[in-house]
Amino acid sequence: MKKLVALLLTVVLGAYLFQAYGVAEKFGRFVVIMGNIAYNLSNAKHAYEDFDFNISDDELSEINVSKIANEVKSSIDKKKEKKALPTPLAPVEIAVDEVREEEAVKHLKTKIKEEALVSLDDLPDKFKPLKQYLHEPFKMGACRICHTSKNNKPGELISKRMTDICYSCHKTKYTKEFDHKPVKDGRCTDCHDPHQSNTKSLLKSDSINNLCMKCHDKTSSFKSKATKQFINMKLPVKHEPIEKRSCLECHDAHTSEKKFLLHLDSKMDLCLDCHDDIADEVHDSKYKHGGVNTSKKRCLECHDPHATKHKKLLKLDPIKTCLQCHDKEVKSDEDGGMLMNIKKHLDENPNWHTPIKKPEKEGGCSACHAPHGSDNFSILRKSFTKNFYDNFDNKDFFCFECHNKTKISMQYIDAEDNNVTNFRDGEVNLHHLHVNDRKGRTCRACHDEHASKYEHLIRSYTDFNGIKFPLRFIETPEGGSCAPACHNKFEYDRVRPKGIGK
Amino acid sequence: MKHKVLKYFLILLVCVNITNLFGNDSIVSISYPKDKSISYEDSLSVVMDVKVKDVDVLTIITSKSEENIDLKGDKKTYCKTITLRLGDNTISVRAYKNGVMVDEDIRKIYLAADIYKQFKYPPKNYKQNFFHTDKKESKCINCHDMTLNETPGIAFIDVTKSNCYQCHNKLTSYKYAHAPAVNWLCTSCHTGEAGEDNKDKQGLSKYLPPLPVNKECYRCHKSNKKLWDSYRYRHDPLDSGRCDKCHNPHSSPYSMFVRKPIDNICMGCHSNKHSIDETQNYTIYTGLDTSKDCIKCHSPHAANEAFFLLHPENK
Repeated sequence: MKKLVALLLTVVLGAYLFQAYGVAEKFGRFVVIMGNIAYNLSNAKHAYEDFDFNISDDELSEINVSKIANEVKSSIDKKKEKKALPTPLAPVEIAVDEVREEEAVKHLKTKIKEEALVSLDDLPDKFKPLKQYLHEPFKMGACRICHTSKNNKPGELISKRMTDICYSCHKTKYTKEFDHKPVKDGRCTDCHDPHQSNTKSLLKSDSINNLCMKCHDKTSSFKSKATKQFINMKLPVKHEPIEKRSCLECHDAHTSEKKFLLHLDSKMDLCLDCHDDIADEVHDSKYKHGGVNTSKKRCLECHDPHATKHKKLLKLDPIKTCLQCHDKEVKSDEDGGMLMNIKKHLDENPNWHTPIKKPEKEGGCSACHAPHGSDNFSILRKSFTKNFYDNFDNKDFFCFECHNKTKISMQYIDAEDNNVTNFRDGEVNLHHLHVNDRKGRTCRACHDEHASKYEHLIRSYTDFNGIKFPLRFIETPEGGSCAPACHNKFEYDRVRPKGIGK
Repeated sequence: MKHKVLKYFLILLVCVNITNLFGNDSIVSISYPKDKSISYEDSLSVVMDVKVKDVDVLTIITSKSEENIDLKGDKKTYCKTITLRLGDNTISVRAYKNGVMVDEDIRKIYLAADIYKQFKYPPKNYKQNFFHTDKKESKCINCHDMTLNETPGIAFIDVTKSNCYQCHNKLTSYKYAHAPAVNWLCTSCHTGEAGEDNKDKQGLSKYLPPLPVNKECYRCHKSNKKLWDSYRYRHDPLDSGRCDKCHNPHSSPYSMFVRKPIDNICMGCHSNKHSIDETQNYTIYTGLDTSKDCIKCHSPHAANEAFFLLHPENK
């Protein structure tokens, strides 16, 4: 009985629930949806890739949930802010000192009373319009704009302050961070002629550069010499804009946000704006020169932007320029190590490598080092080996740009042939002997690339794994001897061979 | 009670003094090395105290040579560097007066060598003695400059200026000399610090080299370490860091500073391989001339093939 009652109850309850929640309807929908999914899966046009959804423990630890939440929140906040922004700004009155875009001045004849106009033909010869460019009021004969009509003092200005007159039409005020002194003092007519000129912008000179040089040339005899920023135009090497183009390529004539009235940051950006080939070297090279990369004055550490005595607008001669900084041990940008004190090294060792000996002809330090940056270590212009041992066979080392490669490649040299190398025992080329195989020794093992106490730039000490070993090189008229760490004392002789390499 | 103790003590002191007096009475005595010491290098300096008045001729006799030592005026201490042979050595110093031997002092020294089984383990009562302590050095100060005059990292231009050179120059007298040794940069290896293998010797000498020595070796031979580390099998002396087992870090008559001709070195440990039949067999298998060097087929350091074979195709 009990079982029957329980069965009945469950059936009744089930039927009630079936009805109450619309199970049949939901089940029907479920079947339709699943059918659709099954259809799409089987007939889908694009194949589904297998994604690897297994996240490793490492990755899991990297995922910072709270950080992600913060980011999402901040992005939402930003969007809200953006929406809140576009409230229309109230029109603000422009202050007198504020800088405005240069406005083209329009002179309308109708604005000026006709009686005030003067016919240019009536003017004395002195004021006749003979030049190419004329000031618009002058051209119109509207003298009254600037001058008073009092008869007793013809030509008197309407105001004693020049700025009042000029700025009454030329609304642009020239006040930024740095102003040109004449602009600041309101001496517009120092540079501009108020009536007529043969140059554009009514300049008081035949060209922009000449106008600037009136004050800024160290050698000029002009009265109102500028108190600073002299350029000596007598110096032989000048920056191209000074000689052929315009000072305004770098400077603004009136006012600027940057020091020295420059268009861009004076230290580097401005220079690299034109010198874009150097920009690549400075920014993109693997090894950068601290002199341009991290120094205070950047390009101006070595170069003068106007005129100098030396090639490439260097402030000092090619060697001294480098020794400005390298007269002490300097930290290398390359690996953080200390670079040697080259000045001391050159002072102590009298025999110098030719590019250093003849800087004007051979190029000085920059014959081998690219001063703006390079992809080779020690900012060398071309590759060289850093190792003590290296294979010379298929490598185009930097030294062989100048030095003949036969020096090391020829195994035997004719007895009378002194052109190739003198480092030989009879006919045996000892250069070849030292560098020929897989374990060829670097040139720097024996030669100091900068300077040495000995002839042929032979080193006093060779550095092998942090230990300095003396070469103990002794030269004789026909040969010499060497007793480095590498081998015992060996003698060589060009005339009477000692039998090395046999 | 107290008086009695003091009395005994005094008597003891007097006795010691008297015996000392008798002890110092000998005409010739070797003050260094001590009797029954072990040496690991084949050159050794012998220091003698001589009563010059009682001696005409002073002779030092070793297992290898016999030499006279020049006597000078009132100089009391003499030294002489001798060469040793492997195993037992007897050094005797004899003093003659008017053709008659007046005194003799004898030292027994054992030259040990790690690469020979028979010389690897010296007799039990032998000890390794070190010279370079302040106390022992004070004896030599009159004639020798015992200070260290080497600039670390910069070799001497004239090596004879090195203070070490004066006494130890025989170390580098062989044909193949190791650069740091022949340039007398001794402290680059002889740091005075003991390594893991010779911890018990710490402080016994100013110039103790650390054992295992490989750390010092790899400071220069970096690329070798890199190469050997990459191999699957490494030879035991290499793996245990004892480069000095086969190589003499100072100088050697054989190329690569090996202590003996290569086959001798190998046979020192692998003496069971030293049979002509076996090598002949190898020759038959490989077609290589194996009669010369073991290292023609085997790498002495490390290899990827079993038995350190260099030519795996000839297995």
